[in-house]
Amino acid sequence: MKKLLVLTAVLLLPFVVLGKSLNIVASTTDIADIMKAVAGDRANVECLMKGTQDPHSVEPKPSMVIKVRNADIMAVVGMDLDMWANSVIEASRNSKVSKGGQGYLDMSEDIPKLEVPEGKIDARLGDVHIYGNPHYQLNPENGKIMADEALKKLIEFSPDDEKYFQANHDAFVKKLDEAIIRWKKTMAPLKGVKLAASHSCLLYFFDAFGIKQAGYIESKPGIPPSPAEVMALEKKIQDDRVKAVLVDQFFDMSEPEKLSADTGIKPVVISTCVNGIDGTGDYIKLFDFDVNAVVSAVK
Amino acid sequence: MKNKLLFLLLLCLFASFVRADDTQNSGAKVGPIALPDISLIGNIIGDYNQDTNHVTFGMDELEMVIAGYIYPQIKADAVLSMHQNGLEIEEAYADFLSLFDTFSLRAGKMKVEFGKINKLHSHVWPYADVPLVINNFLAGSLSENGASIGIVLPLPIFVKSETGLYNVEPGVDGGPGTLSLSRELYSERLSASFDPTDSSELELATSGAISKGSDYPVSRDDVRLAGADLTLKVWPVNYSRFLLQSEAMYMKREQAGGAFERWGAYTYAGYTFNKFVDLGTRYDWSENAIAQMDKESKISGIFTYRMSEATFARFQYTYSPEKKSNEVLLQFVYGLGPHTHPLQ
Repeated sequence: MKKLLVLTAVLLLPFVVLGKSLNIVASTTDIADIMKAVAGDRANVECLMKGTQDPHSVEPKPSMVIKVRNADIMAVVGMDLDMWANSVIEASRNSKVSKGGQGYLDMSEDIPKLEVPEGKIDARLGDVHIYGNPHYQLNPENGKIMADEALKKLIEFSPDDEKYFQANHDAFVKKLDEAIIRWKKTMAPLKGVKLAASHSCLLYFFDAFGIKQAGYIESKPGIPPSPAEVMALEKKIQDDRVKAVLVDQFFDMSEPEKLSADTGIKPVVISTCVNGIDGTGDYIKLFDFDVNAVVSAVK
Repeated sequence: MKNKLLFLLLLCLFASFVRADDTQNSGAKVGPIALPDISLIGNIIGDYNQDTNHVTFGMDELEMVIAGYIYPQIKADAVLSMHQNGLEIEEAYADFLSLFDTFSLRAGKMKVEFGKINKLHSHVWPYADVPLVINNFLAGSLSENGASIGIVLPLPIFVKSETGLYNVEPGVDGGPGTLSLSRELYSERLSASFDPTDSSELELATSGAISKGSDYPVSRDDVRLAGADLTLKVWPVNYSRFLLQSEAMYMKREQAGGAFERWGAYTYAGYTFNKFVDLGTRYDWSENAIAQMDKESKISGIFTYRMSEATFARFQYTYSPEKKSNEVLLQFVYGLGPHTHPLQ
């Protein structure tokens, strides 16, 4: 009998230990990193996708369902970017974290949105996001808004830890503010410079540092460019003396390399997610890497 | 009945036009409008079969899907299918997603949880035709009225059990030599999925079903079905995926004239090279489902070009060694409107 009690206690131990902290699941690595920064050691934060995956087209896996099933908070990008996470949430049967539940956190709520389409939207325009461009994490100012969202939700779940979360939040925002000053100083010579990009996911990055967009390889999101579109971009690059084309880490390099061969423009691979490329292990390092890559290429 | 369905269809089309019009007026802010998701999936197929010396081309199926939440944690889905035999309610069910926080319940007309691909709509299959064993043992697709209860077991890996009780609609037939069911159908599927590595996923499952043959009053035909399936997915780099899917089925029919057993299986292996191109091959082997024994095999090569998640063009070449005949299929599938699928 005694042995049975000990065995039961051992089996229940993980649940007791787990029960002490919040279980947070984030759809993307950027959100996971910000949630970790604010929650500190009071939460277990897990991420559904890897930084090397394109957040538009992640294939949901049953192992993700297991993570979401035990989640108290499920944090998503929203704006229809990570719609694949919805099928995971639904399959998890965890009503707490489904849309409308207390644990559902849409990080885009207070983000100033760019490229919100007007008028009739259909497939002629490509794979347009109807709520606007959802890659807002690429403006570091939006990282602060995401940290605010994280703080509000964490306090809601664990009001006793408010001071702890607030301190973590403030430390993260302070570090980010200092970094933003540094990045803006480094990027200052590029203000008003025209750069091309693989596609519109870099819009918020351009907006953050005052870079002018000279055109996208994928002029319609998700649709490979036609020869005429490539020629038009090449002409624009030559006319405007565009020095570099920024390419996100998922993009097939054949088009940027062709563009480079035809016009002499430099393809610069940058990361759009935390852990998308080696050396982008957290939200601050992501911008350190991208800012250095762009400045080095355009110098 | 047909008129009612047509009316329903027109009503839905009207609703979707209203939605499209709202989109035009208010930009992207269509989210708050309390209309269900409405989508159309068109499946156009061209088929040249040397064995029958027959060429067909045209709309094989037009599927309209209406889906949405009717209450927190309760969803309703309806799938109307228009094909050469007319209009059909392929599925229409309510999903109680979180019953007592543990179980889920689906009630209505639905795809029976038996085997891997029966529950999936054919436009998400990586090939253009129905594998032989699915055609012979499940009449192409088992979609029946009833209820099923699902539970994800509280284990560190994903283990799901689904138990269903259905009332089989008589008359569903996959053609000569195939099984046609009637009366009650009990089914159970137990599946387990885990990630052998960070970039792969393996699903193993078993299924079982008990029912009666369509001429039960005459032949006292008791039917037992069992199945096992395996799905391995490996993602070597972004946008690329290797898929191995194999399904084997066993059938036992006990009739007044005696009992007989049948087997069938298929294996598909495919590689997705990038966002656009898939290349795959499938090997089919199946015995028929009737007392007069016959068997057939097929080997197919499949090329798919994807324009978007829901729109693609496909070429499939199939050779049947027993018949020494070739078949060429051309398929174009398009999707219009918001459309989601459960985990596959």
